[in-house]
Amino acid sequence: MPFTFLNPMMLFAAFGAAVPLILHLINMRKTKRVLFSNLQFLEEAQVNRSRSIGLRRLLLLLLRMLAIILLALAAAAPRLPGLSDNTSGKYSLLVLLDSSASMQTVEEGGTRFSYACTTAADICRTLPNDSEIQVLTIGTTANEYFSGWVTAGESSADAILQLTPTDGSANLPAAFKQCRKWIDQAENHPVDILLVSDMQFSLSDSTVLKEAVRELDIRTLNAITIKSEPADGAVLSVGLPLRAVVPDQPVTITATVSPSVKGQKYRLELDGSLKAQAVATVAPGVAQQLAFPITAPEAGNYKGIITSDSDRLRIDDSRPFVLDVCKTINLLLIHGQDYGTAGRGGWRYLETALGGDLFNVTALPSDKVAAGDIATADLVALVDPDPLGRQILTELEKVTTRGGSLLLLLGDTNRLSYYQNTLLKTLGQECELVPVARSEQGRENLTVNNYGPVFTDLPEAALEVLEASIWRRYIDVKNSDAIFEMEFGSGSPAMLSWNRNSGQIILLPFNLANAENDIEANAMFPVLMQRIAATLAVGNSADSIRNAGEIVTFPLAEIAGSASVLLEPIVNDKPMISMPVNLRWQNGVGILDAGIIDQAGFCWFVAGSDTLGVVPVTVPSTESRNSLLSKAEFQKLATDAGFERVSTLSVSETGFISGLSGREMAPWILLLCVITLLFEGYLARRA
Amino acid sequence: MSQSILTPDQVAKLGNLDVIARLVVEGFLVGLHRSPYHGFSVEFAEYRQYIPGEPATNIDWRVFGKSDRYYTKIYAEETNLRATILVDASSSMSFKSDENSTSKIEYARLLAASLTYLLLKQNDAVGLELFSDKQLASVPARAVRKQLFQVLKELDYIPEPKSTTSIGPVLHKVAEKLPRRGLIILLSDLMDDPDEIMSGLKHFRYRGHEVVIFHLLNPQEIEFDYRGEARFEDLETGNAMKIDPTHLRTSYREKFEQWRTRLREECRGLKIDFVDMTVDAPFDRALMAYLRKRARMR
Repeated sequence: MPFTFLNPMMLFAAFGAAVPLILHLINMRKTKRVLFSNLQFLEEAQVNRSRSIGLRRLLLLLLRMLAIILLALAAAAPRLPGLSDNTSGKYSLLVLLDSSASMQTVEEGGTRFSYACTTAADICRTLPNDSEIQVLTIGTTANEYFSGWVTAGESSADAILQLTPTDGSANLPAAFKQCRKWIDQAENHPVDILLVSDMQFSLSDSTVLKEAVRELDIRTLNAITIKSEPADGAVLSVGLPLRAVVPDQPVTITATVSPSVKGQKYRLELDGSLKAQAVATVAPGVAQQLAFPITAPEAGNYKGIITSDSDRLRIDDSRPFVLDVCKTINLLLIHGQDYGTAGRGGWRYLETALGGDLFNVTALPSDKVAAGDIATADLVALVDPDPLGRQILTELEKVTTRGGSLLLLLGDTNRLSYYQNTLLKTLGQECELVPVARSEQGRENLTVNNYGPVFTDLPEAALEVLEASIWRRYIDVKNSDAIFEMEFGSGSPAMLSWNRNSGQIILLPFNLANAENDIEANAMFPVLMQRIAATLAVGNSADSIRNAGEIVTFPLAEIAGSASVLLEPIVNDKPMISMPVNLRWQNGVGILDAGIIDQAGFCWFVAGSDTLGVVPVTVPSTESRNSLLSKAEFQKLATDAGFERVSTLSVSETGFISGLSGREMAPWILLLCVITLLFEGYLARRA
Repeated sequence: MSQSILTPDQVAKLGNLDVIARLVVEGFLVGLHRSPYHGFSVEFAEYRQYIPGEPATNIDWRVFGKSDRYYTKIYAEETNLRATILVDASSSMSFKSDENSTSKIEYARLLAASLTYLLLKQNDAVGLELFSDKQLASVPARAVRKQLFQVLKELDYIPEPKSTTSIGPVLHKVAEKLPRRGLIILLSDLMDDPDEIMSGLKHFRYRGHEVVIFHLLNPQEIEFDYRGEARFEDLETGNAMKIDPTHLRTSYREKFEQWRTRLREECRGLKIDFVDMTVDAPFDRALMAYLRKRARMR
């Protein structure tokens, strides 16, 4: 490590080391003459001693030279470079305090977060006078704790101790982005950045840090690590039914868990009552998917939770979800007029296919559809519709905005232009619908491309039957960026899906003309349609579980009174929090926006005494099982990113403040000099 | 003792050897509080009142018969002692140090002169043998008054020592030459092969001589208290070596002491009186040692 010198000129004094050397050489030349009576005894004595004497004299000379060099070195006031590049003695310290969920892990004597706060507060107290401090908490977003730079000292230290952790993950890139602003506003430059964290980041490479180096123009990164043992036990994710569930239907809810002990029990509770249990059989720290088979209860929204005994990080030992059991799915089937064109009237096959307990199909011709019909339907299917009015198109757009889904069966080659340029464009799909030349029309097999929710759990035999089905292709979809769920044998898409706003849309580009009896005779047609409809009816509700730290919204079905959010924390001993919500409009749909929720639990959207809906918020799974970066790993990442100096201290290590300004080496060198002189004195006396 | 007031250094500066010898010896004798003239001889000297504790054999009963008092007879001493003083005049004897400017040879000269004076005063016959690697001068032992001047003359003209010591052969020669048993007083630093020295001394003993050795050394030779690196040159051989004496002091002292002890032990074995003398020591010590030896020889 290179030294810096306060008085570098004093280094010239090191040439003084030549003095003993010169004296030594002079003494070697000027030896006095002694006449002695008899050299016999001297010769005998000399035999044993001459070699060691020579060495000792050389050692003495070296020690004297060393002493002078050390003295000159001490006078030059060397110092080891400090953690700070700032040499003014007044610091602007930007503390990046990890407030992610993993920081709630209980260690000996407190949580990691409490350690982090205490450390940051201690540093704040001991910063030199006129230094300033700002704290950025790193959750899913990075938030400044003080409104601006504050003077470091007792009061700001006390304020730091009031910080609370979040249940979100640590977004280091966001924190570094925020740093720019505060570096610009700092009084003392260069600003010192101190990261206080348990190093549980999902940093696979040094890209984020590289960005920071480039953007912030900082060369030194100081980090204080809290602990190094991850808390393993956690419910990592919940797998909800992919398709709509009706009462009494046997369903399986899955959960991926990582037990903290072998044989750990996990419970599934719906609205607070135990519904199923499962036992993890894997070793601690290994992920395992557990299945909780239950019978769907009465129709309604159920507050579900998969939970287990808490370990050191209890916040991730319970994972919330909402189970939606619907009595029946109100499906609005909008179809074109029957006027004899091929495929017209085929909607009836769909109506028939969806018959049963689950669906309540209402079929309306395009010109009879009212906006209200669409708003009240759980799922809207359009089968070769005639051109629709603007209001209806807007209403369809609203369906997706509210998180609803649409099923499109477009196969009328006479309407391709309308479908392509109006309907699909409105629904966010820019593609070309090309009629297949009569010569190329033929009956083709199907291939399932994407085993998404529609096809999941489909028995192998059923899948084989489906793929052996013969369908007639009339339309080719080109230049689409949608997911090709199913293809014809020729490679043209037979089923496409894409997301629009919060909803999902599935397009089947064929008509339901029963040419050569291929639909009526196809055993898989009803199954496929029911699956598609049931999947779409659930929509993206499986994805409705939000991670803590994300923005939580809820689409408003109808104008409600003054709405708010009640946050019911997943950890029982935390109080319920009531928060205001903002109402904003998107595509004509009111969206209740609760903003960023950084605590795990259930977000109840309420208006007066009415409950509008509930959104589960969970701890991001990255907070549970990601291995902690070791000091060395973090140091390597930071060094690779371009930080010239990276210091990683443990929380138990003190001396961050004293380390900021570097270390005076003169006292140590003087001590060494004294030791050298003492040794020299000892040797000289012995001699 | 009054002599102690004068150090050998001061005595040496007095110059005239005769005067010095006289001064040394007379001063020494005054200090003894006892007359050396009253020895135990056949020639009557005087009566002295008997002191209880004295041997009753010395009481003159005739006088007792006459005076009813106890008197002892005091006789003037009659001697038949032949003493030969052997003075080593080799180069090593010319060694002197900054602290003691009297060289060993100078000290030996003064001591020899003083001993001669004392011996002659005791009516003993004194001779002198001066040697280095060979005999340099020889004065046969006689008890006449003018013998003093003969001896002092030789001592006055000791040549500048330029030779090595070779005590052994010289001792043999002298032993052969001396006709009858007597006292041999050797003044030397004995810087020679100890075996050869002992061989020579044995020869004396074999011939029935009593031997007293005054082993003359400069204190610096014993202490070796030099400071700083120096080039040491051997006075006898001319060999030189550059050393830092501080480093060698302990080892040197060890070797030197071993050598002295060996000489001392072997002399004791031959029943030779071995007297350690340093050039800063008062002459009394040597004279007293001689007198003791003389008394034992009676």
